[in-house]
Amino acid sequence: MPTELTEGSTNLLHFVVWDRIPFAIVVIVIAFVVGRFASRSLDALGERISTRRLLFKQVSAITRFAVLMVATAMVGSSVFSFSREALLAVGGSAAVAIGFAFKDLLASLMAGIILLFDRPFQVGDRIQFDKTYGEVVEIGLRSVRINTLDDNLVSIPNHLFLNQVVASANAGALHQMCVYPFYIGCNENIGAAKQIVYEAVASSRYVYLDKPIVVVVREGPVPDGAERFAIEIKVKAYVFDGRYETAFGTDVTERVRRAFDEHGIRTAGQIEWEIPSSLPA
Amino acid sequence: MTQPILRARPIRMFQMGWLLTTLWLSPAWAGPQEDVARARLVQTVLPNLQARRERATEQTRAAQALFKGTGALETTFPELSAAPLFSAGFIESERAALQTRSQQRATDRVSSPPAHLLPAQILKWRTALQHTLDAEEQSDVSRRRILNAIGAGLVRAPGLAETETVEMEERWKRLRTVVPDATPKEKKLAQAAGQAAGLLHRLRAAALRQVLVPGDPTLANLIDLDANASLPTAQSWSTATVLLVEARLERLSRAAPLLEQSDTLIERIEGLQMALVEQALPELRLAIEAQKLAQASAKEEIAMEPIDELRQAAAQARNHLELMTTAAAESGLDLTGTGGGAFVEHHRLNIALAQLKLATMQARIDRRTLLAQSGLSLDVRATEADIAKAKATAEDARKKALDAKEGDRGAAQLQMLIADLRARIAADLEQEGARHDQAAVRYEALHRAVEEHSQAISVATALSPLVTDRGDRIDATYRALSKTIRQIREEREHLSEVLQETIQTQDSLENPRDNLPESEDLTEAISDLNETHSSIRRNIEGELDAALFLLATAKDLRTRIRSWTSIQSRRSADLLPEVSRELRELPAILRADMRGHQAQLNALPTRLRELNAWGEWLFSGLKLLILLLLWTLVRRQSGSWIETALTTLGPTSQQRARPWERTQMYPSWMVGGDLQALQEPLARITSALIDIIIAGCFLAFLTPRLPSMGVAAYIVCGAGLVRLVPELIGLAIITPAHTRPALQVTSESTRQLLLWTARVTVTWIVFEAGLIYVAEHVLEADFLVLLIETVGSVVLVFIALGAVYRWGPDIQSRLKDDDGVIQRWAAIENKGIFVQTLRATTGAIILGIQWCLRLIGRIIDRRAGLSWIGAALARRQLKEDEGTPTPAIDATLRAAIEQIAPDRIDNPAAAHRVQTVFDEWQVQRRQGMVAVIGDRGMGKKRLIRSLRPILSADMDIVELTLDHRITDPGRALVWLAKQAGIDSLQLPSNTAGTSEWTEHTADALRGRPPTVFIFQNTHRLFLRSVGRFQAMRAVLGAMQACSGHHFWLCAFHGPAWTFLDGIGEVVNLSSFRERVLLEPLSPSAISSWLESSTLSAGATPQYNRLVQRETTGKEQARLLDRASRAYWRLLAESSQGNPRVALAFWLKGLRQTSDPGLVDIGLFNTPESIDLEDLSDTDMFTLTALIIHNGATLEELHESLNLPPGEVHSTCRNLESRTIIQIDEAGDSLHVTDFWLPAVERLLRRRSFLHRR
Repeated sequence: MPTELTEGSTNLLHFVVWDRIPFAIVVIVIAFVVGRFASRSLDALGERISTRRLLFKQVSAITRFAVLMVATAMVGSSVFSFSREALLAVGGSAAVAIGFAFKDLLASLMAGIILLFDRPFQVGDRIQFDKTYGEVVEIGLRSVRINTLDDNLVSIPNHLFLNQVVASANAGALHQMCVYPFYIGCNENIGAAKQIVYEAVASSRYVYLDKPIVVVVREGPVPDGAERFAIEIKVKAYVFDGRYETAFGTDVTERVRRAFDEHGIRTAGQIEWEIPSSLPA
Repeated sequence: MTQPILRARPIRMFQMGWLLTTLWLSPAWAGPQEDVARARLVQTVLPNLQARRERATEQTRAAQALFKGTGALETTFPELSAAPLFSAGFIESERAALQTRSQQRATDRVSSPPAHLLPAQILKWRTALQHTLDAEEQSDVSRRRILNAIGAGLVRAPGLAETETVEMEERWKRLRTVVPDATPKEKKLAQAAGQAAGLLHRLRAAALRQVLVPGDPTLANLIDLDANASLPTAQSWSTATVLLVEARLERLSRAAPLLEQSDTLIERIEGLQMALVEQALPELRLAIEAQKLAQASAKEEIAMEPIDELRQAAAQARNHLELMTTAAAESGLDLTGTGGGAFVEHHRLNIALAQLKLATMQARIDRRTLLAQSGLSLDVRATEADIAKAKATAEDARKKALDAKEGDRGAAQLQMLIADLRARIAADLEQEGARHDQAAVRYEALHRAVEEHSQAISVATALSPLVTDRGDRIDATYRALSKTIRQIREEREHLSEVLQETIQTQDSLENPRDNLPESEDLTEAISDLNETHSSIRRNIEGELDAALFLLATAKDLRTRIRSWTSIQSRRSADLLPEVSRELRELPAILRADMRGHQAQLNALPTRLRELNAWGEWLFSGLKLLILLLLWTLVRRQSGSWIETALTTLGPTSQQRARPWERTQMYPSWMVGGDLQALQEPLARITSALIDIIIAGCFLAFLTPRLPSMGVAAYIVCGAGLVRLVPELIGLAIITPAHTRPALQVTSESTRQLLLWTARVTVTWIVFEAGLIYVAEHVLEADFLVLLIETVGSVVLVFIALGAVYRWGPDIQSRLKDDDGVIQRWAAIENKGIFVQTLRATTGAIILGIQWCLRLIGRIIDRRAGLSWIGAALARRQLKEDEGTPTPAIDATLRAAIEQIAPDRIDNPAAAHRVQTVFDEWQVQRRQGMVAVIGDRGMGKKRLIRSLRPILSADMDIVELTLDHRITDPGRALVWLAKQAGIDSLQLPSNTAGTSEWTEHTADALRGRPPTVFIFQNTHRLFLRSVGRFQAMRAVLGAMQACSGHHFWLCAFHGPAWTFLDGIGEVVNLSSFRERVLLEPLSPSAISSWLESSTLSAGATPQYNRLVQRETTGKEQARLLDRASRAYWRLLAESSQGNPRVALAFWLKGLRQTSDPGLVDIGLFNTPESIDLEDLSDTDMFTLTALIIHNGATLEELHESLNLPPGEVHSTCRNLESRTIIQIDEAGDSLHVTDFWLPAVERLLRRRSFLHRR
């Protein structure tokens, strides 16, 4: 008896209500359409109301997640007809079996739920995870998709985020801090250079002025600069929308370099390529 | 056999004679031997072989029939029918026998034929032998097939093996042997055991057929019959039924593997297992209860006899439970498989559920323990020993009487009397014993019923709401519980009657002492009789108390489940009859309560001997003492504490002298006043609060222990609440006569009405809650609670109506000015109470709706993000232009309005602020710099123009207007000096720093007499680019340096100012003493400004065109008013409060009428930001730059945006083609058009391009 009953209890095909398959297909199609529609509508709304773009993206992610879960529940409850005991049986041992089979998948699924509610980062955030930096475009059931600055779409399983360090540059806000270092020669006019850097950032069309612009000056070796010393002028400012991060950097760099040239301030790179006058010709 | 040899030898005659005889006889001897052999062959051997063959053939045929399902084992192999077929040992032994027989047959096949047979006979014998052996071979094959089938069956269903059931069968066998005088229970058990054994035998027979005959339905039918047999009802569970169900479970689980798998069968098996486990649970609960009672008995001397019984039951229950929970393993379920796992999980769940139920029963058990501790035990009964003792004493007395008859008549009479008394005691005890037994049985049945209901409630409520029959189960339990409550009531009434009868009977007994001498025996007998009567009464009272306790428990359960029952079930219960019954049993409950208290008091001396009790009392007493001390202390000191707090919080003595500063202490939503005046009401509130808190603590402490004492605590608590609420309202609302701070000032009559309403409402609510408390906790009358709640709701409705009636005049006065039909009807005062209440109620509803609408409107107005809702609502209220378009107003009127309107913008607040700063500067000349900030078209120039007369009263005014952008510091300073009338300014050489130039310019400016400088377009001193802020820095520096000498009034473009304010390290704007921001105009300000301007231009605007439907009279006026309000709201929203834009929209909407003195106001078209959604990022950045740098050139835009000139040019051309921007007449500067300006700003803000405000 036990063997046969056990086999019968775990054979899922015995619990399938075949005449509800069309209904399940309709539900899946509707869920797909609703999910896509909601996702696109909310994303479009977010694009139109930029100040709330990230909020709409989060709502979109949660909506998509909810639609998927509801559809799964509907399909499961309609297609499979379990008695209480069978449910216990399937829910017990089958869950263990499925759990072992899809351990990582389920771990990612649970991690996805945790990520949605714990919110170490949100859709739209710019995060640094391991060596990947980019904008979170989706927190899915299985993985988080990050659009890197090189426009590569990187998928990282959700569960990896639970036990590794992840840094969010904007933590749910639209604006985010950007740091740009500039290196000038040690004998250059630091005050003028600092003023130029500040004004360059303040003049940039991408700057977010509700947050302060900070300019920090430090003397030290240039990174990868063959032991050359220079004055590092590091400016920390916020871009009003994270998507303009690279454009902001470009704009600021252009303005600074142009102004440095106008004011005769030489950068560390320019000095390196000049032949020192003290050397014999 | 050798032939005898005949030899003739004379010497040995004897030998010869013997030989001869032998030879003679030898033929005679040889002849009969062959005949015998032949005869034996024919008569015995061959028939035997034939018979063997026939028997074997018959067995083979019968076996075939058996395998086909048409035969029976008894007829085929009778010797097997009684054998232990389901024994592996027997099967093995049978197989061994078959093997032996097979070997024997092989030997027989090659054996020699009988002697003396002729060859033909030998052949015949051999043929017969071979045929017989073949038939027997066939028969043994059938036999082996049977054994193999049984063996295979045992492999599939090892539970059917006889060794597996031997213990069980032995138990049944033991139970079947009953003695003739066995109790009915034992007989039933024996019967059940016999039935179980018989059924197991039948099952084995069916199983045999199942393994032998493919597709035989006997076993399936039997199992089906077993599986579908109903379970015993809850009431019919007994040891016998448990045995039968167990046997059923055994049969099903043991035989099921032989059948095809079936979900139903699994369900049935698990159902049986669950039934048995659940059957065991009450016993487990009983065990726990027994343990509790045993613990209680350790403290109190409760009869140990029932406790021992309960303990035994507990031990049995535990064994039973263990047996049942391991039933899966015993019945062969694979516990490692899914089904087994589910089974175990199922049981675990149920055990967990049982534990939950046990936990919920804990309180009830505790109460029962408490009952036992208080002496209200049900098991106070006359024992057999007492009765026997009484009988023996009576007999003894009777003997003494007989002995005394001979001598003393009086003594004989006395002894007879004593004997009668003793006999009566014995009879009473015997009668009481019988009665008590019956009562105990009834009580036990009721108690069990309540327990079952409790269990059913726990199970039903633990079900998921999605389970379909959850509601039905709850309803059924509710109905069953109500029925049980009725039965408990009947039992209680019966016991009351018995008690009354007993009391009457005992009271009616004559005094036996009459005319009899004093005797110790008689006194003792009378005393014993009285004691017996007392004990009988106590016994009945105990039963009565137990019944009441059970009733309370059942009611408690019913109350608990009522909220889950369906409305139909609740309606089916008759409220009033139930309440009537509850009221009737109140005296009994109160008497039982008193008896309980008395029993506790009686038990006090015993408890005094316990150290734990002392510790408990001391601890509780200490807590009470602390509470009381706290209560006294806080009540006494609260007044002084409040006074100290108010003094600390209040204004200083210096501030008290200045009422205007005193009022500034309070937020805008509060009414200011004298803080010290708060002392009295705050003291009263604090006192009431303390009463409530302390009494609440007492209430929480007493309710579960002494609910009747809790009533006193409730009264104190309720009284505090009745005092507190009106005091709070009185504190929040004051009249003009009060000097203390509050939230609202109102008239005395309104305040009194509020206080009256609050007092009456709270008093009734507290009173009702008190009644409910008494009914629920003291009287335990759940339906009375329902009645009180119903009555309470009705009374509350009447109180509300009374309040509305009293508020009627106030409500009606507020509706007087409304035009609606209903409002007008509600506002009519009437003397009749009914009509007046109706009108007032209607009015109150209308006012409530209006208040809600106003609240929504305020929320929409105040939330910037929701203003679009207001605009959309306003637009819906206005009529769109349809049909033939009406011509716009003529150019003359338009020009007149355009000319008049700007001059009529009035901003007195801004002007006042500038004037105040100017006045202060004149008193103390330092930091004379004021910034007037406003977007384009907000009226900066007009404001400054309006200030000119004021500022020029004492000083010269110089107006500096920067027509083009100057970002070079030197040029800017020179321009400034030149504008200030200093033509000779020579800045130091280029090698000097900007700061030197600034100082130099400031020195030059200080050389001028004090002047008011009005600086228009100050924002043109910078460009958003690296190095293009120096001019702004230099000029502001020069201004600041001489701001103690000159007064500077600078006009800034709003977005430019906002930008500069965000980059404080580049341009420091803190040098400005005052920043006057020109706020957007409100709808009312725009309406008054534009209406007056249009009137001044000679045209009267009318709103008829905007009204959606034509009406007359007051309704028309109301619609016009509504339309006008909606129009101005829409205009303010569309123009963002910008006067220039608002004027443009206004002029767009004005239409000519036939009367030249009248103009129609029509709806205007507004650009929507949705039309700008397709703009690219570059467009957006360009527009942002144009918003900040209004009037920037292409070159400036290129520099500011850091974009290639070509791209900027094409972008601007595109924007210009869409009329979003325009180029001025000179053709070099660009700006966003007035028409698009609000939409562009909205879009840029929404997209975060413009983020600072």
